[in-house]
Amino acid sequence: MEDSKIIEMFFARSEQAITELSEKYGAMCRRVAGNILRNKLDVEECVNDAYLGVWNAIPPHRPELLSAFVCRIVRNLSVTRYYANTAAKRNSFYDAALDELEECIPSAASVEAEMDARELSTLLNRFLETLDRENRILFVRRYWYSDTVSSIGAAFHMNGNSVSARLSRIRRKLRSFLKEEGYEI
Amino acid sequence: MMSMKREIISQAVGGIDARYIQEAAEDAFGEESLGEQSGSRGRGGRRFLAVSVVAATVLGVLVGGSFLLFSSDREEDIFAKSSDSQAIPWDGLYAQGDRAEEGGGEATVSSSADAPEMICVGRRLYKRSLDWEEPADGLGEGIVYLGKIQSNVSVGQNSYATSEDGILTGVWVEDGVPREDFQANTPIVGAEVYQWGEDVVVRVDGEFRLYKYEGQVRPDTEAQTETQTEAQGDMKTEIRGEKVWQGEDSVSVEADSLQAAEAAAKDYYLGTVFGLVSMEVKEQTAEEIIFSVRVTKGGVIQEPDRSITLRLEEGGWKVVNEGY
Repeated sequence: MEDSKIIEMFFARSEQAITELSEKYGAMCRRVAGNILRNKLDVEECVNDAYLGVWNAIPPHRPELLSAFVCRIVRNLSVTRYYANTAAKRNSFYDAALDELEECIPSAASVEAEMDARELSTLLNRFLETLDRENRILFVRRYWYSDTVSSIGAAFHMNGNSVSARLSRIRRKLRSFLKEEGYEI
Repeated sequence: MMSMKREIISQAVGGIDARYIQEAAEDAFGEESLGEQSGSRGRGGRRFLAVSVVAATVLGVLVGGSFLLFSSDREEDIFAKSSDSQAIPWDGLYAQGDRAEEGGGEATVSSSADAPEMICVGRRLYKRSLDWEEPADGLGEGIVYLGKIQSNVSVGQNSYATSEDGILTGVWVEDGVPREDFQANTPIVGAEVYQWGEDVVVRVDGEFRLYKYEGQVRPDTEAQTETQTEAQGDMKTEIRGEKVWQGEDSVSVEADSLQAAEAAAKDYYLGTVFGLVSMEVKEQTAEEIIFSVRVTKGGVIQEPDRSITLRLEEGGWKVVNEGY
């Protein structure tokens, strides 16, 4: 079913909208959550909570990109739950991706003092604009979707080392980009 | 407890623009599952490719031992004989170490039932590891429930495509490779699928089976993993000389000629930055063939399809034009 029709069903307050949303994007949502959380119950709850979130948000909101909209909600809920699970071991794909990114983002003091998440987001989006499509997808798949290097490699017909090397170059570019913006690394 | 820095980075990454998320999702999950583009199975629905005459035949040879391309009332059935199938490295096609071991290192392909057990989840293909046993201490907490197997794919059914003037342009065979999300090629509908590291485990009759990650299912060729495509390329010469018949009252096509044109086109793309995904006969005369070509660049499907024109010159097909 087309996104626009699903959205119309949400506007009509038809519960079938949730079913259609789940059928179309359920696997994607579970994968996004599963890359961050390692517990199936957490994954299912986050995904279901995300559906509820979409239900509450539409209307009045009318997302242009429904998949990105629901995935973002899933990711936010998953990250929140991840932080809440203080006992969780740092062993998820999410952690591995975050570890890589941490090294090229301004130091903790700088971050806390000068830059909030929103500002950093704006910079990240500007940085992504400077990348070609392929590098941008690599970056987003690795750091937004927390996809593993090997799964990205399979999609791009590259081996894991090549993907890692490419990501490393992108991170170096990001580091330079942030430095040019006046942030000390 | 996460540091403030990590939390801010996490939030910042979470704020990446929706269009970039969508762009990456299209890459990760295929167009089918995304938005307005998903009205059909790819841009042309299930594509019947000229290249499939080769690919499907190879798959038929490998999966079915011998593969009936077409059967006419004149009993001019054409088989792509599998006489050389012993030389085909099974693990080259399916990367199935288990099979190679079972066959003493040689492939033994006798029937469609020999197709490896596979499932497709999230546009990814997983193949069953036959010698795996569930660890005595269980799978740990690292498994994530993904969903249930929802359908099976059949094996060996053929479909045909013709151009408007009745010329056979492609043969597509149900090769037994799952291509839909949560689809298997064995009757395990309802079985629960769990992510387990890079692989998945499937619970069947209370026991877990391991399915190892095989590759991404390509959006258009749908079932062709990278290894399969490579193997098909290697196998191409094995079926030369066969003719393909469109039917009792139809026009026959010299598959040799079509394959030669296709081979010339493939050679052309080998020297470019593009990776060939599929080719479809767009126009065809005795001396000229135009293929509509879907390509990738850096693993990303390029839009729109490209077009390549070949002309028969001095007995061989030569590329005379290529582009959008």
